[in-house]
Amino acid sequence: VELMQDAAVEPQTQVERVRATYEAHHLRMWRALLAYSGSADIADDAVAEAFAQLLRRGDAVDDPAAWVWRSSFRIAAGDLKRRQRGHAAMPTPEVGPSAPESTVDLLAAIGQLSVQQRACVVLCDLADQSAVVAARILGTSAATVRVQRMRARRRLRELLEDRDV
Amino acid sequence: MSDRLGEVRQHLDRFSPTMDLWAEATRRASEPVTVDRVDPGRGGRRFVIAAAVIAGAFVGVGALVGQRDGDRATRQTTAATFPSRVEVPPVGDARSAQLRDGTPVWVVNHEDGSVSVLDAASAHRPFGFGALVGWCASSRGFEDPVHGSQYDEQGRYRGGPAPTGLRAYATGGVENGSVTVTGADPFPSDRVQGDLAVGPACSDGSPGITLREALDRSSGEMVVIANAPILVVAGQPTLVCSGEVRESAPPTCDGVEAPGHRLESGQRWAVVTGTFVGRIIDNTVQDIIFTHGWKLDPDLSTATTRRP
Repeated sequence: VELMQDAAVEPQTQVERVRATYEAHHLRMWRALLAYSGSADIADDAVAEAFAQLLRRGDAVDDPAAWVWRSSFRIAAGDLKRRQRGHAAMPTPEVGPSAPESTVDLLAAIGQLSVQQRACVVLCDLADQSAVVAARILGTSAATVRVQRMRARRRLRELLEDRDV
Repeated sequence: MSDRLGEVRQHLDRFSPTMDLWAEATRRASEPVTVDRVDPGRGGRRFVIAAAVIAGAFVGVGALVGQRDGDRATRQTTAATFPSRVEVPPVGDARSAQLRDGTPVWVVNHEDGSVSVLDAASAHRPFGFGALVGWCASSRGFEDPVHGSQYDEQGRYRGGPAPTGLRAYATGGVENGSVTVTGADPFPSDRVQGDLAVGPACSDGSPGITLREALDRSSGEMVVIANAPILVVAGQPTLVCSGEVRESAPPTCDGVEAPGHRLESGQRWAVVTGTFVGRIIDNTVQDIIFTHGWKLDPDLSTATTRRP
């Protein structure tokens, strides 16, 4: 048994602590937000803004990872609402030309879900969060997340079957 | 449906932010801004704050307060923990034992005839993981073999980086050579200075029980044990990845590459080898304890996760 190096060196500042949270979470968060909002712009803005706010709050936040996930989804939801004032449906996700058709179809179908259902599917199925964590991010109960996710998956199956026919 | 969602996930993995989001976040954090963003659904009132000043204040306070709070052990116990019966050693001696749920403790039979049951995990938890303390007979106290915190035989703080003393457990009377542990005392709130060492300190803790024994004696669903190079990423909760650490490729944890095997200034990474015990709470490994100085079971050569 050997300690390869001393882990007792403390991070110097709160900024570095936030930086560690950023490194561990930002990619997964950004991709989840891309699927959630269908827009790289919204995902960019939500992640940057959530971490900017975490930096401002510093040590006042108990659980930075949970806080920043929750905030980024709220910010993205707000951005979506603002953008959709003129549109009825969510914009088609910017998935690029290389996506297989089934992926494009599924992303489009996810875009037709209600905001709450979409968030549950994105967090549980695409971002690999547990129902408990997803519930914390969305400010609801784990039971609600499970029900919404089940309904979302049923709805997705219907939407995809329509398309396949 | 799961297959197709997996396909979508793989596809999403090819995408990355179009700009440096960290640079953008720090830029936004450092300028006075309007803070109507957290709950954008709630009207459009905008409050202008001097964010830089507030951020500065947090950094200052955080350096003083946050660090100590962050290191404070928050060992979780469950209903399955109490009551537990542990064996009492001869007068003047200390013996390692475990509570019913596997929590490692030290039982001390003081020379005055009183008995203490103390948390065997050091109160110093940099990065959220700590080490089991060893009993040092010559100094009559406990020592953290990894970071050097020392405690007296009552578990009170003696020296080193620990924020507090060891947590003590409430006990009933001694009966037939064993004592009943009835609950956890409130965690010591500060560094109450303990007795000074009566002799030289030990460089290594004395051996305790084997980890195989620890596993066999534990009940409940939450003991995880890993005997492998482990990558620790601090955060709340702490992320832990275990796996091979090779010279050729840097290890990754949760898709993030570790910056080499050394802990670099400002990066909360640690790669350590050894044996750890921890608990699974909310699907996350928490409360990770390095078992340096405790007897190791040679059978445990690979990482295993166990949920009986």
